[in-house]
Amino acid sequence: MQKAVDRMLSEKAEFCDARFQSLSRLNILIVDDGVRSLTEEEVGGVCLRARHLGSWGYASTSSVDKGPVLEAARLAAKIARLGTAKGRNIPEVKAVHGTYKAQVKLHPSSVPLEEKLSLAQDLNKAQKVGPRIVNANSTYAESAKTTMLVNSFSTSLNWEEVRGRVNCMSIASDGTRAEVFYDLKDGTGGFELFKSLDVEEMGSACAKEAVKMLSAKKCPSGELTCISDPMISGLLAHEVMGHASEADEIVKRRSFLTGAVGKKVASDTVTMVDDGTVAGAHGTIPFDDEGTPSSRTVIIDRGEYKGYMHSLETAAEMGVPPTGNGRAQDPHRRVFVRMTNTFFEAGDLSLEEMIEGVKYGVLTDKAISGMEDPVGGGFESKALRGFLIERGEVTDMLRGFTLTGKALEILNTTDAVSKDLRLDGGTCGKGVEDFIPVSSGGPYCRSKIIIGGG
Amino acid sequence: MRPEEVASAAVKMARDAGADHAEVYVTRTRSLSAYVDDSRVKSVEEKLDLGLSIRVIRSGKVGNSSSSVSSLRQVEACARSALRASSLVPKDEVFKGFAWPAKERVHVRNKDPEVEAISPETLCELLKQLIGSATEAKNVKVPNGVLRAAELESLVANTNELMVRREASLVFLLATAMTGGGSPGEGVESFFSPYLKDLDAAALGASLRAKAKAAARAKAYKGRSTIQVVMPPHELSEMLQGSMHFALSAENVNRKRSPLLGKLGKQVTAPVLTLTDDPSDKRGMLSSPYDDEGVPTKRKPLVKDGVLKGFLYDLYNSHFSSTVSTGNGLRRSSSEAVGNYQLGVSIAPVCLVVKPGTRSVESMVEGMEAGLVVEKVASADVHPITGDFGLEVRCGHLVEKGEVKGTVKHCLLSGNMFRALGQIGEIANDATVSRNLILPSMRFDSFELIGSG
Repeated sequence: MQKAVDRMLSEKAEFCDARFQSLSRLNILIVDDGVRSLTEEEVGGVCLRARHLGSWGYASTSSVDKGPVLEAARLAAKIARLGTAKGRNIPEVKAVHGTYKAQVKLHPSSVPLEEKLSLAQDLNKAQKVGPRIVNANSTYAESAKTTMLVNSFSTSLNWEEVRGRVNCMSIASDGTRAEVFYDLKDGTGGFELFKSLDVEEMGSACAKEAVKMLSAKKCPSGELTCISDPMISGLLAHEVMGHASEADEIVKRRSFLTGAVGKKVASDTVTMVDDGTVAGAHGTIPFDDEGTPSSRTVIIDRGEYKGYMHSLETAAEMGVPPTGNGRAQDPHRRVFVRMTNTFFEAGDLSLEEMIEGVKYGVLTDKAISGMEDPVGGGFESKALRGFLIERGEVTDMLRGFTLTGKALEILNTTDAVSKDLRLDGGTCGKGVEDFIPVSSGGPYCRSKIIIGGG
Repeated sequence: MRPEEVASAAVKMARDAGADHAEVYVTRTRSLSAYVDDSRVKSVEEKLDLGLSIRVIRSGKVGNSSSSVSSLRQVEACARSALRASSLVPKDEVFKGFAWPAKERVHVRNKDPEVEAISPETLCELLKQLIGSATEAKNVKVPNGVLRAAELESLVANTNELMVRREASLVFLLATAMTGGGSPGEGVESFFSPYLKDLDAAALGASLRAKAKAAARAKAYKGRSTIQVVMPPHELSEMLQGSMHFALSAENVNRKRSPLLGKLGKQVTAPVLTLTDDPSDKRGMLSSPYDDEGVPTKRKPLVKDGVLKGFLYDLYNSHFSSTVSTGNGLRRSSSEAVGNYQLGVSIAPVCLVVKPGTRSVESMVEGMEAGLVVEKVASADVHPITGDFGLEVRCGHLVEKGEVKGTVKHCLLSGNMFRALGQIGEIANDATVSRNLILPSMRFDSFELIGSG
C-alpha cells in the first residue's frame, strides 16, 4: 500500500491514497418456510486515488498482487491529469495511525451459522397467523468490512465495521386485493443486536398488520395536517435537507441551501444533525473512507441553518475542517460527500398530545421510499400506510400514499415534535449508484404536507 | 487469470470438496467512467474486476457463495464456503439441478469493439462535447454527470458439462443540467446502449439544456384535476419495472404476490399494448443467447394486444411450476458491469420491448384536449403489489386544445399502474432504450393531478 502511494507521488500526484477493502457478508433468505438462499460472500479489492489540480484519477483492481496494484497506482496518477476541474490544494492534515477493531460483544464470525439460520426461520414461521397471509419472507444479513488506508499525509489506518439486519415482510390477500407490511431491526454491532429480539412477536405482529391493511381506506388528498412518523421524518431529514447539505452540492451551487448558513430555515421546533458517532446506529463509522474520524455536524439548530457536511476536498474548498463524510461504497467506487446518521432531534411532546391537537389530518406509519431534490428543495416520500385523524382521535387505517411539498415550507409549518426518536437503517445512493449504509430518523413531527395517491 | 481457468478450477474444486452438482458464474470486467462536476471533468476511473459465484447441491441441499478473485486460493475458499452453506440448510424440495447444454435459439452479439478499445482520453472528450453543448446557453451548467463504457465477459459452467460465455459492452450516461438564478431548474438525461456509435454527446447536451430551461419555467401547480397524461420513456421504464416486471416474474406468481396471478389468457391491459421479451434485439442492454444459468433465451410474447400470454421463469421457478425455464435467470445490470457476480439469480426480462405506435409524441399532443406531458418526476416508483403510485412532478407541460399552455412542478400524479395500463390511450413511435426495456412514450387517459391549495 505504501509503495502504491509512493508510486503515485513519483507520478506527480499532489495528494493520493491507497484503500484496500474486504467485505465478508452472509445473507439468508427464507420464503414461506423454505430456505430460498443462504449465501456467503468475500469481496475485496484495492482502490488507488490520485489528485492533480482539482481532478481525481481512480484505478481499482480486485487483485491484491503487487504488480497489478502498482500498475493501478501508475494509471490513477496518469488519468488524474485528464480532468479539467480546478480546485484548492488539500491542506495537510495530521496523520492518523492505528488499528481499530469493531466494538462488538458477539462478533458474527463467533456465532454458529445454525443460530442465524434458526433466527430467520423462526421469524418466518411466526408470520403464519392465518390463511390470509399468502406469502411470508424473512432475511438475516450481516457484514464485516475491513479498510486499510494509507495516504500521502502519512496516515496509516486499519479499521473494521460490523453491521447486522433482520427483516420480515408479510403479504396478505383477501382474493381481490393484496397488501404488504414489514418490520426490521438493524445497526452496527454483532449478533448481540438480535439476542434480545422477540422474533415470534416481531413476525406475528408484522403479519397481523398486513391482514389489517386489507381493510385500509384510500387516503384523502390535498394539503393536510400530517404527523410524520420517525421513518418519514427521517426521509425529510435525509433526502431533502441532508443531500442538500452535502458540501459538494454547495461548492458547485447546486443546493437550494447554498448560502443558507445563519438564516432561519425552519420553525424553532426543528433541530437536525448528521452524526456518524451514534452508538449502534446503522450509519455509524469510526472513520470515513479518507481516514477522517466521524463527527456530529449540526445542520439546523432550533430553526437556524448552521452548516454542511464535508470531505477533505470540500473542506479545502470552503476553508473549514473536514467532518468525516467522505465515503465510498466499496474499493471500486469513488469517495465523495455522503451522510452517516441523519435525523431531527426529539422535542418534548407525546404522540397522543400531538394527535389531540389535530382536527383533521393524517398520521404516517413507515416508509417505502423517498427521493432527493437538492436543487429545488422538493420533498417526495411514500408512506407504507397511515391513519386518519379526526377531531383529535385516530380513526381509519389508510392505504399507502405519497407526501410531497417544498421542504422549507413544510419545516416552517412544523409546530410540534415528539419526545420519541428512532433511527432506521438502510442504504443511500447518490444519483443512481454508490450505495452506502446510513440511517435516518427523528421524532414524530406535525406539519402541513401535500398528500395523494393510494 | 482467465475466466475459463477460474470456472474450470471452481467446478473441479466444488466436486472434490463433495458437491454432487455445482454451477459457477464468473465475470471479468473493465469499466471506464468519467464524472462531471460543475461543468468540468472531475474524476476519471478505470476498474478491473474478476469474481465468481458458486452454487452447489449436496444430498439435495443447496448452498451459495461468491468471491472476488485474486488467486486460486480464493476460488477454493469460495467452493468450500458454498459447501458449508449447503450443509446447514434443509433439503430443497424444489430445485432439481442445473442447466444442461443446449443450442442457442437467438443469435445476438452485442459486444462493441469500439468500447473494448476506448481510452480514458476519448471518454473525457465525449463528456466535454456534452458539457460544451449543454452550456451553450448562458446561465446553464452541468453540475453532475457520469459517462461509462464497460466491457464484460461472463461465463457459466456446471457439472453437466455446460459452459457458455457472454461477451458484452455497455455505454451508460446519466447527467443533469441546471439553470442559475434564484429559482433554478434542473433537467436530467440518460442514455443506454451497447454501442458507442449510438452516443451523440452533443445532442444529449442540447437536450439537457432544453430540459433545464423548461424546468426553470415551471410554476407550482395549484388545485386538482383528472387529466390525460403523456409519460416519457425513461420514467415509464421505471414504472413498468415496478409493476409489470414484478408481476410477470414466476417467482412472484408462485409466491402468490403477483397481481397477474390467475390471469393467463385474460385481457390485462388495453388492447393497444403488446409486450415481448426479445433477447435477440441488438439494441438491448442485456440481450444474449443464454441467461446467467446457461439456459438458452428465446423471444417470448408476454402481453399480446392486451392479453396475458406468459410469465418469465428461471430454473428454480420452472422446477416449482413443473415447466421449463424461459431463460430469464439473470445476474446483470444495464448501467454497471463491475461486481455482477455478487448478484444472486433473479428473474427479469432480458429485453422487454413495447410495440411502438405510429404517431410521434408531438402528433399525439396535438390531439389532446387537456392534459399533461411529463418531462421528469422525482422517482417513478410504483408499489409492485398494489400498483398504486403517487409521483411528484418535477417538470411537466400543461396542454390545452393541443397546445402547451404552461409548465408545472410541485404536484402529485396519482393513480394505479395496473388500472392505468388498462386505460392506455395511445402509444407513440419514439422507441427508446431505457435500462432493459425498449419503449416509447404512452398517453394514459385518467390520472389525478394534485397541487397545493
